[in-house]
Amino acid sequence: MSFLSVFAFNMISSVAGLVSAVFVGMAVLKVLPGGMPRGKRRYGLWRAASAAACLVMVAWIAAWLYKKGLLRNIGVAILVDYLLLIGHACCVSLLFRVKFRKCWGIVLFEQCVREFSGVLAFMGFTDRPLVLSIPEERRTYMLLSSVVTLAVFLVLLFALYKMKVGDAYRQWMEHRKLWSRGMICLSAYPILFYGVSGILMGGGASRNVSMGITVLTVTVALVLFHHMGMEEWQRREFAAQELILQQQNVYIKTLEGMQEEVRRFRHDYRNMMSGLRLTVKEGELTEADRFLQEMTEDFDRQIGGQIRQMGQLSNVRMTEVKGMLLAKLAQMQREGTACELEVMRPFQGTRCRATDLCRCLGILIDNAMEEVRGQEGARVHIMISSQEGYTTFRVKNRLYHSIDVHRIWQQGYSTKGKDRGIGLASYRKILEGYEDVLPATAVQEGYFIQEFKIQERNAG
Amino acid sequence: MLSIYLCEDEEDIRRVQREYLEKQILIQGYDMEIALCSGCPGEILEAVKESPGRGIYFLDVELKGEEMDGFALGREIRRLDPRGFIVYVTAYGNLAFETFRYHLEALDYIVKESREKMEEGLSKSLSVITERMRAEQGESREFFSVKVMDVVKHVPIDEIMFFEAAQGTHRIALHGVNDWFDFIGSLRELEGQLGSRFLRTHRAYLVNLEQIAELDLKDREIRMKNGERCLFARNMKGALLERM
Repeated sequence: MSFLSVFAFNMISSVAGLVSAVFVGMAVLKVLPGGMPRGKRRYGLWRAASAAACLVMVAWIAAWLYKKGLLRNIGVAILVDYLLLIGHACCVSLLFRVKFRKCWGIVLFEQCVREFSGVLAFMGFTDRPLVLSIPEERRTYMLLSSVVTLAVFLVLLFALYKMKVGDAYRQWMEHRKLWSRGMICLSAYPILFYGVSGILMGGGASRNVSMGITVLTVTVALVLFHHMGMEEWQRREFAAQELILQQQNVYIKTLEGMQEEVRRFRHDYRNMMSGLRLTVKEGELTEADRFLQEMTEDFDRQIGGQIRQMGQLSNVRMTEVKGMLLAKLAQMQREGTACELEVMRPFQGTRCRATDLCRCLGILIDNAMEEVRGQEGARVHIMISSQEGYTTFRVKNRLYHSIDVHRIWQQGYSTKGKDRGIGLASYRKILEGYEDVLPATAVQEGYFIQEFKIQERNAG
Repeated sequence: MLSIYLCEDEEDIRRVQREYLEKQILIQGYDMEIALCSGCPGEILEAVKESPGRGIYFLDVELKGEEMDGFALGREIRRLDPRGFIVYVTAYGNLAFETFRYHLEALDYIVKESREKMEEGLSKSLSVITERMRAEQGESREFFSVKVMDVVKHVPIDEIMFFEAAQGTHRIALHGVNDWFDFIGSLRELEGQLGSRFLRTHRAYLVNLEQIAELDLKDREIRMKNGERCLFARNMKGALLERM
C-alpha cells in the first residue's frame, strides 16, 4: 500500500474513532454536554481547526511508522496507541471545552471497548493473523475491522449502558482520589494489552489463546475498576438518601408543631365562641362583628402563615430544593426572621443540576439572612416561579447597609467585614457554566434583589 | 381619561365595588370612567381589545368556575395594555403578591375581608394611580427596556454605566448604578438602538459617555463614575477624547 492510502485509511479510522468517542461521551458516560457549545465563530473555527490538525498529525505519524515497518516493534505499537489516545482526547477537549482529564477518561473507555470489540470480532472469525498482502485476506480484514467490529462495539456499548457501567464509570471519574489511582492503572492498558499478548505469543501460544487470555486479564482489571466506581456511587446514593431522611424529619416536626398549634387554637376558639354567643344573645351586633374579625385575624396570625408556607413548599416538587428550603426556613424561624415563600405554580424541575441549583439558591438565601439578621422586622422574601418554560428564582431582602452592586461579586467583598463575600463569587462562577441561566442583581426602593432565570428546554 | 375594568365573580361584591368606585370618581373628580364590570374574564378581554388604551384593572384572583384565573387574565391584559394599572382583589390576606408584581407589574392588592377594608383599598389604589400619572407627566427620564426571558426590565438610561459582552456567548451584561444583569443580545444592535450617547470603545464594551469619570491612557482603561472599570481599544482613543 502506498503511503497516501495508509494515511487515508488512518485518517478515516481516526475520525471514526473520534466520532465514537464523542458518542460514548454523550450517550453512555453522559460527561459531554448534549450539543456543541455555541461560541463566537472565529473562536470556534480556531478550535475546530486545531482539532483537525491534531487528527491529521496523528494519522500522518502512524502512517509514517507503518511504512517504515516500525509498527512490528511492540514498543512502537504501544507508543502509537498512546499517541492516538492523546490525539483523540485533545480533539474532544478542544471541541467541547471539557477538561482534558475528563476527555482522557472518555477516550480510554471508548478505546478499551473498541479494542475489545475488535479482538472479539477477529477471534470469532479467524484463528491466525491475516496476511494483508493477499487481496482476499485483506478484504476479510477490512470487513472484520469495520462492519463486524462496529456491530460488536455497538452491542457491547448497549450492554454496558444497560448495566449502568457508564454511570459507575462517571462517578469514578468525578471522584478525584479514585480517578488518579484508577486512571493511571487504566491508562496502562495498551501496555498490558500488547505486553501480555506479546509475551504469550512469544511463548508459542496460538493467537486466539493469547488474545483470549489478554482479554480476560483486561476484563478482570476493568471489572475491578467498575466495582470501585459502583461502590463510590452507592456511597453517594446513600448519603443523598440520608439527607432526604433528615429533611423528612424536619418536615414531620413542622407538621407536628402545626398540629399542636391547631389543638391550642381549638381550645381558645371554644372559649371565644362561648363569649361570642353571649354577646349575640345580648344583641350587641357591632361587638360581635368586631369579635369575629379578631378571631379570623388571630387564626391567620397563629397558624395561617405556617399553613400557607407549607402549601407553597408543597409546590416545590424537586426534593433537593425542598429539603434545602426547609432547612433554611427552620433556621430563619430560629433566628426570628420572617420568611415569605412564594411558589405559585408547581415547580417540577429544571435543566440546572440539582446540586448547583441548591448551592446557588442557598448562597442567595444565606446572604439575605445575614443582611437582615438581628434587625427589627427582619424579613426575607423568596420567590420560585415557573412560567411558560422559564423558571425564576428570586431572593429579596431589605438593605440595612449601602451596597455597591458591581462590587459584591468581588472575592472577599462584603458589607459584613472581611472574608465574607466568598459565596457570591462562587455563585457567579457556577452560573457562568450554564449558557441558558441569566443572573440579575438590583437595588430597588431600599431592597436588595438577587435572581436567576433558567430557560428550560421547552421555552419558546 | 382612564377606563376602569372590574372583574369579580361574586355579584354582590361587584355591585359594592362599582358603587364605591363611582362615588369616589365623583367626589374626588378623577379623570376616570367605569368601562365594564363583569364576572367573566373573556368579556373583559374582548372589551379591552375593542378599545385599546391605558386602563385600570381591578381583578379578582380567584375566579370560580372560569377557566382563566386572575393571574392568567392579568397576563393577557398585560399583552394588550403594557402600561395599564392592574390591582388584584383577593379573599385571602396572604396572596403571593411578589409573583404578581414580578410577572405582571401589578400595582397593589386589596383584601376583601370586610367592606371597610376593601373600600379603603379601592380608594387608596385610585389615589396612588392619580399620583403616578402626575409624576409621569413631569418625568422626562428615558428608559432602556429589554426582554430578559419572560419579563421586560426597564433601566433609566442615565443610570447605565456600560454594556459588556461575554466572550464566546451572546450574553450581554448591563452594568448600572443599581442594576447588574445579563441578557441575550448583541452589542451592535444596542449601538444602533441607543444612539450617540453610547460609544463602542472596545470589542466587548459599549460605554455611556456621560458616566465616564476618567481615562487611564496608559492601561487603556476607562474609569466610570461608580468606580467600575472597562477597556477601550487603541484606535478608539481619538474618538473617545473628542466625544467626552
